[in-house]
Amino acid sequence: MMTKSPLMQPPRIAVWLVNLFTPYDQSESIQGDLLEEFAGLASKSGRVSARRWYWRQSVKSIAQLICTGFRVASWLIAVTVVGGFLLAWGLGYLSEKAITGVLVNYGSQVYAHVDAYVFWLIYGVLVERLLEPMLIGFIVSRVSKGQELIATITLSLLWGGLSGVFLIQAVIQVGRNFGWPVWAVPNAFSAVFEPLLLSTFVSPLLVLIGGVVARKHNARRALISQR
Amino acid sequence: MTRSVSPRRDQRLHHDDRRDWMNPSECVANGTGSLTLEYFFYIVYLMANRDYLGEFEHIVVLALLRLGERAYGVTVRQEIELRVGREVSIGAIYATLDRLEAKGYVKSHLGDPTPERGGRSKRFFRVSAKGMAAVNRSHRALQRMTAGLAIVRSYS
Repeated sequence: MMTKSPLMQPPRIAVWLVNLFTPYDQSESIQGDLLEEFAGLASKSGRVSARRWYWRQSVKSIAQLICTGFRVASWLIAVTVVGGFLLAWGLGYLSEKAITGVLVNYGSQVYAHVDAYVFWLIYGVLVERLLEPMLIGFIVSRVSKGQELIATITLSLLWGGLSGVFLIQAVIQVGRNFGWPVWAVPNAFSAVFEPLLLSTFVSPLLVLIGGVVARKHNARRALISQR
Repeated sequence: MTRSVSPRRDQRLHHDDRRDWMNPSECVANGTGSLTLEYFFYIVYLMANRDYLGEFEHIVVLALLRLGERAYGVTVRQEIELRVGREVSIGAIYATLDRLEAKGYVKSHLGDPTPERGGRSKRFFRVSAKGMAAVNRSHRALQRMTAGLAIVRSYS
């Protein structure tokens, strides 16, 4: 059995990142080539310089692979990103309907147990808001097979960017209507800014996590089918 | 009865008959017409089915030819770095090789897994007959374009 010195290992995060962006059929050769050159450099110029070289190569390779992905599958990426937005809109609409339906149909029971209602309203909606982007990222990534991370990165950047624009708009609106500073306006944070802050900074990250999970799943399946 | 044809249409028909549209740049240059829709589609057709090599593609194919049987990611990258003096990423090499393989200019096969690569196999590349023809065509085009240029002579 082959044993390797832990000192001669390339940076794990860089290896993981390169693995995420390489096409399935090239993954083995690219990782092997990088490892071979890294080992040669580490024995010749030292571990620090080899690790620096590995990071430089990884960043350049990922940038190149993203550009190539956009060039070869621009339509697939565009369609999946638009699909992701439609899915987000659809899921948002359905969850609103579900909450309204519960309140209308089971209103008397809800008001009889106000504590439980408040608990589910606060945590249930929060969990739904956290799970929804992750699910969308997962689905977009599954559909855009081969370009998973590029599609989910595009979606998360657009998602964050659009939400950011809405957040700025909301801040200006609240400031103009209720006065500055906006954080002193009662209920403004919980009613307006909190969902938008969540959508600007947390949701894009969750979309990416969903995308990474789906990519890992797709890669494992591709590896099994190759063998 | 003769069929009336508008002068522009008539001019265009003759133009088509002479097969000048095969060289749109000439048509634009000699004033026989501006960049019309058919030239536009011709240019799109050329771009979609381009049978010439880009600069980096040319360099990669030449590296494969120099390396012969030893051509795989690491050696190709090092050969380019050594001879061209520019650091290229392994991702750029594989993206180009993948494109060349899709065009049929390059063929690849997997070697045996080796321990220094963590049990991963090498992917060897070789230039196909079609790729050889493409590199010859590009080389001839470059030779013709540079022939007689003083600036090229001063560099060589």
